[in-house]
Amino acid sequence: MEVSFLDTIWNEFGVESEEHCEQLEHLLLFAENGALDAEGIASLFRSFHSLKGLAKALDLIAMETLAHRCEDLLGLVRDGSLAMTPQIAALLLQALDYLKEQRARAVEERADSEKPEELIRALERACGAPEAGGANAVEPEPIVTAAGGVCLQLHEDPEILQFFLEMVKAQIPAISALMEPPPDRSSAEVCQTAIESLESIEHAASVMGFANICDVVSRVREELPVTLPISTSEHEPLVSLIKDFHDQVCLLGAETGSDMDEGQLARALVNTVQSSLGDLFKDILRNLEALEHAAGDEGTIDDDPIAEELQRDLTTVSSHLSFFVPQLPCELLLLLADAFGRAARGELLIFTEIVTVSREIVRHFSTMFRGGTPNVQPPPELNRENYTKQIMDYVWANDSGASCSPVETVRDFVRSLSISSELAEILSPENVRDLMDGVKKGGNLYELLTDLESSEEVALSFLTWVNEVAQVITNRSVFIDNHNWYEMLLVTSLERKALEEKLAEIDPGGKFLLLKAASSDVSLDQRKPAKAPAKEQPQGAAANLIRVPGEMLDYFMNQIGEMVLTRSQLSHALKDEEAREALLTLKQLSRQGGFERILPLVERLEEHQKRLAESDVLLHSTLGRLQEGAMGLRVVPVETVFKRFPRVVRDMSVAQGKKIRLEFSGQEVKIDKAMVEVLTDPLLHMVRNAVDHAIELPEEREACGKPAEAVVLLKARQQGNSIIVEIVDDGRGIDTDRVAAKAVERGLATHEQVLTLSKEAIYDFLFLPGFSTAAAVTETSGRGVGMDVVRTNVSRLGGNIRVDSEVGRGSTFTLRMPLSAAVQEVLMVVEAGQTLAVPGRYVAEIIQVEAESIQSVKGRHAILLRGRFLPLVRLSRLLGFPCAEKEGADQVAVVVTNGPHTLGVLVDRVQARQELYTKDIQAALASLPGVGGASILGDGKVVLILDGESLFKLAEKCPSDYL
Amino acid sequence: MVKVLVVDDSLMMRTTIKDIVSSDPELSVVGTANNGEEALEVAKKLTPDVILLDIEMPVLNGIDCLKRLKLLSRAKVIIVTSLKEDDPKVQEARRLGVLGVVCKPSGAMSLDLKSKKGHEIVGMTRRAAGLGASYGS
Repeated sequence: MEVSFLDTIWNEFGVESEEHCEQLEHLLLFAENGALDAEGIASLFRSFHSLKGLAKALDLIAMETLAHRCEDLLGLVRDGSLAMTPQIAALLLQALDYLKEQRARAVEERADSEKPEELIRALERACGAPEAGGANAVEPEPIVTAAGGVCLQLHEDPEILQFFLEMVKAQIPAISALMEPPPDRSSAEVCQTAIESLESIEHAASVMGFANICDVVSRVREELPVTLPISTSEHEPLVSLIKDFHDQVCLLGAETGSDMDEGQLARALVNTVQSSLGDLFKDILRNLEALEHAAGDEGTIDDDPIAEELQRDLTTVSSHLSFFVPQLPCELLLLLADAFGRAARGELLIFTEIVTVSREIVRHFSTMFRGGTPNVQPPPELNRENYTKQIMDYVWANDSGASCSPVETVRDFVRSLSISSELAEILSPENVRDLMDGVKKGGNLYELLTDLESSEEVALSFLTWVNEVAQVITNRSVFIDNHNWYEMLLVTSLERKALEEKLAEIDPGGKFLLLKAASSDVSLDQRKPAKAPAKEQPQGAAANLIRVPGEMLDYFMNQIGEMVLTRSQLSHALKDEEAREALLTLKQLSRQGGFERILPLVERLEEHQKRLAESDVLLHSTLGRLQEGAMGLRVVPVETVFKRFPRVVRDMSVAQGKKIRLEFSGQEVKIDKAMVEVLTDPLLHMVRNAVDHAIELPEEREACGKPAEAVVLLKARQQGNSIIVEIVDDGRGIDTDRVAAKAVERGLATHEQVLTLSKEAIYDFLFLPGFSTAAAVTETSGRGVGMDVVRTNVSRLGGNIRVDSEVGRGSTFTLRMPLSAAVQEVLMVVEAGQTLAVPGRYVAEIIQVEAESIQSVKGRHAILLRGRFLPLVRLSRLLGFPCAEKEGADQVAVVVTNGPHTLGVLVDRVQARQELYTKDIQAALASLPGVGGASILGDGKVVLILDGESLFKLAEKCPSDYL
Repeated sequence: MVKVLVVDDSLMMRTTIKDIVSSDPELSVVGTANNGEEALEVAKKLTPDVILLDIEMPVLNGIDCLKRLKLLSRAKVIIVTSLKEDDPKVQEARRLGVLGVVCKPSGAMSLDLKSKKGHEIVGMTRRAAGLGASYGS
């Protein structure tokens, strides 16, 4: 295969541009639904940019210009000058369609296309209007394209910046009034003024390009109007937003060095929060006092409701304070809240200690806050570390043992100590607490394996010593070499070296006391940081890939196929009976008198044969591996097939006014690349059918109690040697009555016949040529040339289509295809002088049929096989071959099944199972009933491969008299 | 009714332009200003839909006014100026983003203006407001 340099370049262009187009379509569909984030926008920009570059490299001016405009538009969206509205997304999709056409033309003819002037102008218009998307009847003619963006220029002008700041400053009183409304104005007035101020800031900020301010101000505006005054308890989100706005203004002031007079706003905010905070602090302190007075004799306090209230109030205060004044160590309050929460659940005992600490902390906060200004520095007595430690120590120490959560975290902790898991498992909560205590007091953890039964002396010394210096947390017995050992977990303040020395002292031989594991420097505060998942490095992976045109792979596959056949011929030749017999005869003859000289020659021939046979075996296995490997090359995820569907469905649903959501499952299922083309057409057709006929208009759906949005689900899975794709819709389902009526109308069946047919049989009508129940032929389907062709094609490649449906609920079309289109395992049979291949996946078993056991049931012949009737038919009868009747003799039958149906096919002879490489055959041949494909045998004979599905159909039609 | 603001330092220009614009029953001149600063105040107060803005003005010229107008108001701006198209100020106005520029000949004869440029001004103003090209369309 010679490939010129130019071809390579165009190939590259073709592939890369296709990838970009796919990516663009994928993202733009998201954008149209408003589901695209900044990352996606950047990606869109890059793709258009790349397309522009690709086009330019090959002098495709029209394509370059179009891509350039799209890039410009995306640039504005990316900068924040424009919003990605559905209209813009639709426009870009239009442009993309055109780009795809241009690309196709380029690849095919290597020529440039015409410039789409209209489209280009539309894109330019979209760029030029900063407030895009107005529904004007007549669009104002674009006189200016502000390619640079107004905002940048104004932003950089210090005078204008000042002007902007003055403007914002002037609006602050109106916003502050929301929190401190003047007595002589009504709520509605104040709100209205505030809304106007907010709107003017929003507009100016957006022109200036201050997206954050613009955003926060618009959100504040959305929350209005409200009844005034605003308070944190009732309008928390609003207060929070105003606080954000205040922060933004501060930031502006700081960056520009101007006084924005945000103090006014701040004071108003403080006052708002202040009153509710004041109440909260009062409540908390009151409750704490109550707890203190409720202290019982042992010093424990048991009052769940108060503890609960405390938890709630402390949490609220903390959240108020923390959004308002971030420097305050509000986690202390949260820690306290958590402690009281546990107390309320009975997991923590309350002693005066914690109440006192709480009061101290809360008082500190309360005083700080009464100061009246935000951004206050906490007093030095409010030492975060000290208080945190105090609270945590308390909680650990006074755990009532009723909860399991401390133990869980401790379990993690224990696990992190690399103690043997069996030991860790047997730790009880008390054990764990002892363990924690020991560690808290600065102890080290050791795991020892001890043999205390072999030497009494050692055992005694060890046990005495251990009880003095260590605490045994737990132990378990272990059988090693018929000996009973004890594995124990100790906590001791001894350092490792000292311990090892002591052990050596007690057990000089080192035979009875073994140190298995040690964890020193263990700290309770040790918290393992969660490992951030390693970021996928797509670059590195991509660098190892090579792009290979599919034709090349096909070429290799063909070569391999030919090799397999040739080797098969070789094998066949080697097994030639005649040659072997000739050799044998020669050998015999040579033993008789006079021909002894021939013997060695004959023996050499024999050896030669043997060596050939060995090579053949090797060749067979090597080829097998080669084949497998090559097949693996061509395997792609089924996603490749599915990726076209979102666009198709979207276009159709837009055109027909339906709302459809496309869902996928099993996209990662792998199929042979050749299957992609094979699968795409039938699936596409079936999806189109679903959208056209099955899915109802939104109003109709709602009238039936269904959600307005229909769901079409494409499910792929692998089952053995097949891939199964289901198209499930929740549309109107197939009305068997209508189908039956149509069938009668078309003369495909009589009225009486139709009444006896099962649901499945009626569905089969859908697959007949010329059949369509669509009231009108739509643009996409309903011409009635679809499903029959689909079924034939599918069938020809060894697959089948099944339908299931429920009126009003929906339908499921199930498409089953063999994973590999090319190679099939078959059973070779001989019938009426013909060698035929039965696809292996249909063959259930091979049976002997005795003449006497054949029975007649309803005019058909059958036998009883394991208690069930197996209908019998002669293969030549099925296929319409002339055949000689074989009555009275025992026969052989191949039992074929397609799942629901089973059939016994009588043949003259069954030969062998083998693998065949399916070759393409003429369409005329393929459409013959019963024919599924063809192949060439090792001896060069052509063999027809039967189509499994059609065997059953033919059997139904078979005349019932003879076998 | 489309609200139009006419800004020009020449009384004669203001009168002529006001005349031209008023000839269209769907357009209404709600205010005038004779310099950039006044223009800002009037724009804030009256919230016009379209502003016809001169460039050469005292106190605050058209370009500086335009920049501030962008922040203050959502009105579409059309420059009506005696400067030529290749004048840097005109180009800056375009860069800032205006709907269009009408060049009036210097020392405009009211007759000249009315006949030739009159249509242009009305047409542009209508388009700025989203109306058809002429009344009745």
